[in-house]
Amino acid sequence: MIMQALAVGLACALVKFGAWWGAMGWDRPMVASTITGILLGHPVEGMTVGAALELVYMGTQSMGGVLPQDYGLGGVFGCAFAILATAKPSVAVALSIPFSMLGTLIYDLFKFWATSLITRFQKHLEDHQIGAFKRLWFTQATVYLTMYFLIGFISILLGTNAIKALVNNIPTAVMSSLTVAAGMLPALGMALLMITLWDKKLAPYFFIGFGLVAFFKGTLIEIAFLGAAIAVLAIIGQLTNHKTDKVAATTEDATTSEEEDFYND
Amino acid sequence: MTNSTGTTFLPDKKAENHFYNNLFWRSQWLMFCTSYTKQQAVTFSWVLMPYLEKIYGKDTPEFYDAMLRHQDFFNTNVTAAPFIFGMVTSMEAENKANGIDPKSIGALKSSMMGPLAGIGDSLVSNGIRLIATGIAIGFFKQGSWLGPILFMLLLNVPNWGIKWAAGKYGYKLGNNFIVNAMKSGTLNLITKAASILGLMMVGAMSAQYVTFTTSLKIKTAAQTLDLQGIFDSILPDLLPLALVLGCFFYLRKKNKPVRTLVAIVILAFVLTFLGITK
Repeated sequence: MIMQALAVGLACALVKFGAWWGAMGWDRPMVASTITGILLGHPVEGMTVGAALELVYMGTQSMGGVLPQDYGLGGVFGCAFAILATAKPSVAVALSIPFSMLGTLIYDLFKFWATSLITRFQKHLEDHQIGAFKRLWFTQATVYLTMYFLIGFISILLGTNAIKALVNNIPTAVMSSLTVAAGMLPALGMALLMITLWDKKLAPYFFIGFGLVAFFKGTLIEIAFLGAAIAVLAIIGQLTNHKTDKVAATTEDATTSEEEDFYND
Repeated sequence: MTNSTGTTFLPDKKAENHFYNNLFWRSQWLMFCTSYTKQQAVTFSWVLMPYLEKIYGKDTPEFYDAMLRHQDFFNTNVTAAPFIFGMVTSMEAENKANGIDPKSIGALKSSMMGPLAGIGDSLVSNGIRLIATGIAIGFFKQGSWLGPILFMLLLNVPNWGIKWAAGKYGYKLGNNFIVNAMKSGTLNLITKAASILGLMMVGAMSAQYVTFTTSLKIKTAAQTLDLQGIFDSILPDLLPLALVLGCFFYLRKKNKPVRTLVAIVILAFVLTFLGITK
């Protein structure tokens, strides 16, 4: 179990690194799960479980340093228990939820600590101690990654047997309920995305996308292709308008009010 | 602001390219050490450190003044941030050469971070990520290596491309460019296009990936009524659509996502125990 615990700890640290460094998206559940799968020696399972997890957390996005749910940790632990406790993808989804909530708490604690360091950073600069400033910066980055490594390591070392026992004793009625829930939960992800993208005037585009799949069984690649063309079509008129508008000085008010409309929605 | 003073900070083409590359790599660390009070401020100054050292000289009082100046609250989208780094560097170089009011550097930062966060978040975090996810997730589902490879490329080639270019143009063009682009409304149109494409993908994925069917069959004397069959003949994926829209309106009433999540799980249990779903 030590090897598996090390692998999951490493996965946690890697996921958290790739989430922040360059915003590479390693914390997306499907990537986090794939990384975990690779480290545990079951890459294919990591990908398939990752797809199920991604659908649930797709609408959850860390913005402005606020993490509504730690979908990265959810991805790692969902996959880890799918492999180590042979849980079905629907059960893996259910197991990932408490970890994604716990992850938010841990992140908040870390951020509190980082906040307490601010005055020390400031003091080092006031004292003209750039060396100390640099060291403190590397310390906090190291603590951040080490902390997540330990969370993965300890949870797997101490928790896997309990989770295994739990998974093996789930009654069939609960099991099928979880499968239904796993199918329904992506609706939350979609709804969350709609909240961020929503604009009354743009609502029809949602239904175009929906209809293309529901009626014509389009694939997502086909819809992305058509969607890009439609998006350009929708703005191309305004784009040329703006170019001519620039000449006329009076239009400035019109554009600013449009700007405000857009941000208000 | 064209950079007449750049000659002392970046004397030739080689130094310029080195700066763009170096800024690109250093700015990747921006999210580390975010705090509640000042968000990305500490790392913002950490990223600028070598350039400020080069402009003001190592360990000089001016260098420390500049570093302290950048301890103010800062928060923006990571992909768009290099634009501000480039701009601030060019202004700091200008300050060293011609002595501008250092307060204007801070004012510029705070006026830029909001719009750039909005555009960056909608274009990259929602737009590009969503399209990359939509295209790649099918391959993930099949357990194909194309999934992770495609996702990483589709997300990070634009993400990193924008970052590198943003640093360069931020330094070259200074603040005029973004102000003009905002006034002319071009940036809003880009955001709008990203939202349109994003909404279409969300609609498509709602139909593709939300599974919600009823197994309920109503038996009457004459025949059995297959409810799902009726739904399918009206509108395929009617129930998933209703569920997505239901969640959407529930969330719009300022309900927390976690509450919605728990509500869905409870609903799934209730429906299954009642024999409506299977």
